[in-house]
Amino acid sequence: MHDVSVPFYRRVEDALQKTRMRQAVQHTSLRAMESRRAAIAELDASDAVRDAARAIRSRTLAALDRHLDTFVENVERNGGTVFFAETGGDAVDYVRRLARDRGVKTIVKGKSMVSEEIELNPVLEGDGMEVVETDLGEFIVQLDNDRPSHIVAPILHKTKEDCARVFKEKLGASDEDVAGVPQMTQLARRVLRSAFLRADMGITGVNFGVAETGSVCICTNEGNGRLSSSLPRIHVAIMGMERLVPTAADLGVMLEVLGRSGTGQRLTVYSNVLSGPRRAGGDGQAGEPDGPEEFHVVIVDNGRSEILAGELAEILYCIRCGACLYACPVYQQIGGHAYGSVYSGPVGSVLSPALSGIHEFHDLPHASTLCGNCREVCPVRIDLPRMLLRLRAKGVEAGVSPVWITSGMKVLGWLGTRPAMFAMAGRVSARLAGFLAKDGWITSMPGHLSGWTASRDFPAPATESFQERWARRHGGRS
Amino acid sequence: MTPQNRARMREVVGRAVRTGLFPGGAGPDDTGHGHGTNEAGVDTLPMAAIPGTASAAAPAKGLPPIERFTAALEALAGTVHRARSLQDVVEIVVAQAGRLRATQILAWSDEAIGLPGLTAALAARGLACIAGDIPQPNGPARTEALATLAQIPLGLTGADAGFSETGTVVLATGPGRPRMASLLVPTHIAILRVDRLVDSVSTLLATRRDLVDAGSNFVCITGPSRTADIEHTLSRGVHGPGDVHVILLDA
Amino acid sequence: MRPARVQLLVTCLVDRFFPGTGDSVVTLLEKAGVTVSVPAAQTCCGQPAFNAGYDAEARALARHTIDILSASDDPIVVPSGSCGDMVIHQYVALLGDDPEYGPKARAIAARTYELTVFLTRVLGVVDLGATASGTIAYHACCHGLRGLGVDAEPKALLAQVTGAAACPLPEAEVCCGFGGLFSVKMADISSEMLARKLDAIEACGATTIAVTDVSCGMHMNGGLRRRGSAVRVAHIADVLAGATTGDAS
Repeated sequence: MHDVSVPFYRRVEDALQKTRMRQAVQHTSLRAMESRRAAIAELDASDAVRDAARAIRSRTLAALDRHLDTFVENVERNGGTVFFAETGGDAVDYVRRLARDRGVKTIVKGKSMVSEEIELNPVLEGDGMEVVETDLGEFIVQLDNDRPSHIVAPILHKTKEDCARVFKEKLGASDEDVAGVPQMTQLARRVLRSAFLRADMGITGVNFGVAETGSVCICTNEGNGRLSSSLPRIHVAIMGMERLVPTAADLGVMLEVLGRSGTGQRLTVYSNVLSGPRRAGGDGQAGEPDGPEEFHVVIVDNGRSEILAGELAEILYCIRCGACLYACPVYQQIGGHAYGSVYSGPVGSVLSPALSGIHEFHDLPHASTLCGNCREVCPVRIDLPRMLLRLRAKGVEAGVSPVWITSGMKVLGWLGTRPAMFAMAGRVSARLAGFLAKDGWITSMPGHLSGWTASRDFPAPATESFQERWARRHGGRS
Repeated sequence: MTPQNRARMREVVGRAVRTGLFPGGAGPDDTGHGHGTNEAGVDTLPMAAIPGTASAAAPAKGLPPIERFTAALEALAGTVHRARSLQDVVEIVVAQAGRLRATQILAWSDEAIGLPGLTAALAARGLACIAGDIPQPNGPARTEALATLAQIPLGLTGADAGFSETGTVVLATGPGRPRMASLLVPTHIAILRVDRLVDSVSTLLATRRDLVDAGSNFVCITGPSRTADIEHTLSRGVHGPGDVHVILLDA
Repeated sequence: MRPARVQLLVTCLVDRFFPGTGDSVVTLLEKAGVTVSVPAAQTCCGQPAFNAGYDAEARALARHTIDILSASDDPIVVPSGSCGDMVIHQYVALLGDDPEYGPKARAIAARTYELTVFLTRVLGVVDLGATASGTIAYHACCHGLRGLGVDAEPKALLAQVTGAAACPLPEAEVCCGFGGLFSVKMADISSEMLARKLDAIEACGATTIAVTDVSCGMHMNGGLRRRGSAVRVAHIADVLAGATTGDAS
């Protein structure tokens, strides 16, 4: 994962200055939330469907070893090849060896978060291959050497003027080519079509693997997933090892909630289920006329098995719909780049430290007010606030919490179990605050607390607390 | 998968699931304190426990399936035609081809579409159905095939099923069923028999395992290819067909 | 069975910063026909420590709070959605496996109620004869709303207030940006979230915003005062008890 040299706070500062980006993020997020609400409401028993989806994820992961084994058996039965990559490096090595062995020169890529997580593209490009991202947003990200800022909408942070500039600079597009969004889309279609037609290999992600049929399901709106997996002679599907369901029926349930939650669509335009390479003919029957000769699934662990073994396993239920990002009032303010990770927003705030360790991403679990909106909208009801709290506790155990907070909490813990001391400390603070306060309000707080008074006044505490007054009036309990 | 790789996968994942916490496995009453493997030993919920998305569907809730399908697809800028005979189908296809000034159609075979005589009838009207075979090894044959297919403006397929909730057509691969007929072309026409309409994707996947196993690929297509990546502004026909027609055949 | 007595878990912020709100809570409960006791030696429910990841300190405070509340069998009323969520849900999460405090935590959780839930659902009281002036809007504090499901209850109580007009608050369910320590640790983001909330508050035409939590109220009022706004956020108990301002002195 990237950008850990830049402290989170500086990234946040940068992000908060980008007014246009913030407006775009907030506007799109609110629209997405509204679309989601309408689409979910269409389901007769949406709560029960989400419970069912959650149960499927829970049961699958609880027996993931068995289901992965079934999956492998069936992919191979269909004529495909599977490789289990313990590390990101193993996955990258498999793909580059395959590409080299097969004389691959051009690769087209459908959107795959995992491929970004394992940093696949730079290695393949370093080997001299042409790697073309074909999802429109990812294509623009690639041209501009940028990073995606949302799981489902990668260029949420870019305006159409930004995109026009990228096309002109990097593709030599004319003014007519970039006159508007339809023109830019058609330009991208032309450029990418030629890549699809000459590509030797297509690499995609996987929305859901299906164990009982040995299939992978890829959901897109553009059709680039279909073209990447159907035109080139080799298709490589990179699958996070948790992205599995046991049966086709289970897939049906997941598809009912995926589109509705993430984009407000009942179904993405293409829900594509691939079960192996094209089938040859035999017994007088013709074979399939098109499709890849080779079908590979790379199952990526890269830290997931460690998560699977613990109390954060629930984060692996995630189906990457993107709803929690749109729902998060913090994400709406800072956008995706500020998180400094492939996975941003609420899911990223758990997944990034869970995959890479609390030291690398210790700020992310704190970038939240625990408002719970993410859990509200999650199609599989992941209890993100619970896990954010667990990660905060892990951070404290790991010693990454600021000294002033640790000291303060020790004092709170000590005083809080000694009521007379607690009350005295309260009275002392009230008197001290009295010096700082004017008309009952403090406008400038010292040290670490100054962040409060940068934008807010702080009320002075009362000289006599409720309990003190109650005791005075009632002599203890009454 | 090499035996070592498989053994390693089983070992690594098997060890992990023994200690993991997997709340939610029993449904709404689950307190989330289950550990390790699923105690009930049941891998999936029985279909009866999955509530009927079957009767859902708010575009035009309460309308019959054909009307619901039509409303859903039209809401996505797809076009729905009605046909009662081979002749009706031919007229619709000829009209679209005329509009596009197409003389070639990338098509499924008659057998795959389930309309014997379709290809001949179209040929009689000056429209050549191209089979869409793509040789896989790189070479001149492949390059030429792709160059030909990439020029064809219209694709014609059957459909194995449709979803009335969402205006979706389902296409499986197989002999005489090129994927490109619904993908490479800018305009795609799918012929769907109305008795193949089911409610939704969850209904289909719960009841039609055979479709999944039928070929190397099946796809659920819901309207024209689209993207809203640039400033959340909708654009159609990015990579897949931007113009989608479904002929509902009631015959 | 309608309880005759309750214990008030006053909460550390109400205790030290807004004792007048505590008075309002007692007034309301007495008006609704229950006798209020205030267990002595209350300090803090432990939520600040828990939210910051200091589980050991949180457990110590939780055990202390459980001890003082366990001395009586009376139901417990908390005038806060976040402290309520702490006692009702997080005490069990923190101490559930403890052989001594696990059962106690569960027992306490089972008889603890947020104030508006207690009034409307346990006592069945909606009309407390409250009168007010101006225009009142309601902001849904997050822990109460999503942690405890508190929403219909405060709204039902506010609907019975006579004399004041009511208006909706746009984005009423969007977090105000307080989040405890978040307000100083991530002060920049907190301020931006606050600004968005205050823009909505100032645009909606209300003179008073009712809330279930003084913590969020403190953050919003601090911002409103900084803006020179005349709008005030008030705890719903103060609104219903006719206390015009919570006192801070």
